Amino acid sequence: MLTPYQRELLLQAQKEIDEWLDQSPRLNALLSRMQRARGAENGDAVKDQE
Amino acid sequence: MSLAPIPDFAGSLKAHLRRTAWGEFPDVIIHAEEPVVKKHPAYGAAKAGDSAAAEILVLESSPIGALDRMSEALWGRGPHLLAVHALETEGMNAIPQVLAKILSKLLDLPVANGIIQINRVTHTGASGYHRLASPALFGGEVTEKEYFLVDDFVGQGGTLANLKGFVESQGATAIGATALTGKAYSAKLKLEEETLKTLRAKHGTELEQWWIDAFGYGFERLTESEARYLIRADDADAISERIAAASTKRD
Repeated sequence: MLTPYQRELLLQAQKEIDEWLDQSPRLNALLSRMQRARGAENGDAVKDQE
Repeated sequence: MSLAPIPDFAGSLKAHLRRTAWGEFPDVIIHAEEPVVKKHPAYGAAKAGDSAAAEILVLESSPIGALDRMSEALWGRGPHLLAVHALETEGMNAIPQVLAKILSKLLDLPVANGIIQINRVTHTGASGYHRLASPALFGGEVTEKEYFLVDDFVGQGGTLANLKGFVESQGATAIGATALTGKAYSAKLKLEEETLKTLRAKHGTELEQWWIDAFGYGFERLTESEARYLIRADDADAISERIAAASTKRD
């Protein structure tokens, strides 16, 4: 079984990964690309309807 | 029949190990094939706790197609994504938590923090009996109603089954699970009725009682892969002996 200290480290690491990925340029760039792609798809869908 | 004595671990395991009924638990959604993940240059560092390596690994090996399958599986529900967050031999495995966080961003779902694996197991490359004898145990606060479980790898499925049991024994529901990689046949966690019948017919009720005394749950809560593994054993004595032997080498 893990010691209380090891458990605390794991819990802390969960939070740190969370916060770190919120600021990740790589992930945020991917999200932006996906949003743009979705926007373009929606735009095409609107054009198709027109 | 001459079953091995119940291993010494039984008391401590039963204090923490929970398995719950399978219900309609769906197949695990697997994102990528094993070689794509395990031969990726970032895999070793990610497994040892490097979050940046885990991010690269997940983004470069997780095809967008799996996101569509996840969206379909969610049916508009908004469960918390719960990663198997564990200290392993190589270090703190960063892959499940990073996968959970990336999925949360892509699918607009919250991530659950505060639940961790409370023991250290060495499952990578281990035998099936070793995996069965050293189950992952979980602890922490179950604060949400619905969870979707996230791991880096699904093999026999015991770790996901134990995390499901942990949250469900405290009133929550695990509505599904996803893994970055795993063998296709490992995706089915829910035990098939036919497999259960075959297992019971081959190894009998005495072994099942031994199993309950050792692990605290009956055969009906095994995963499909675990049950199939046990069916392949020659007889009940061999199973009890191998579990007992593996328990002496537990982490």
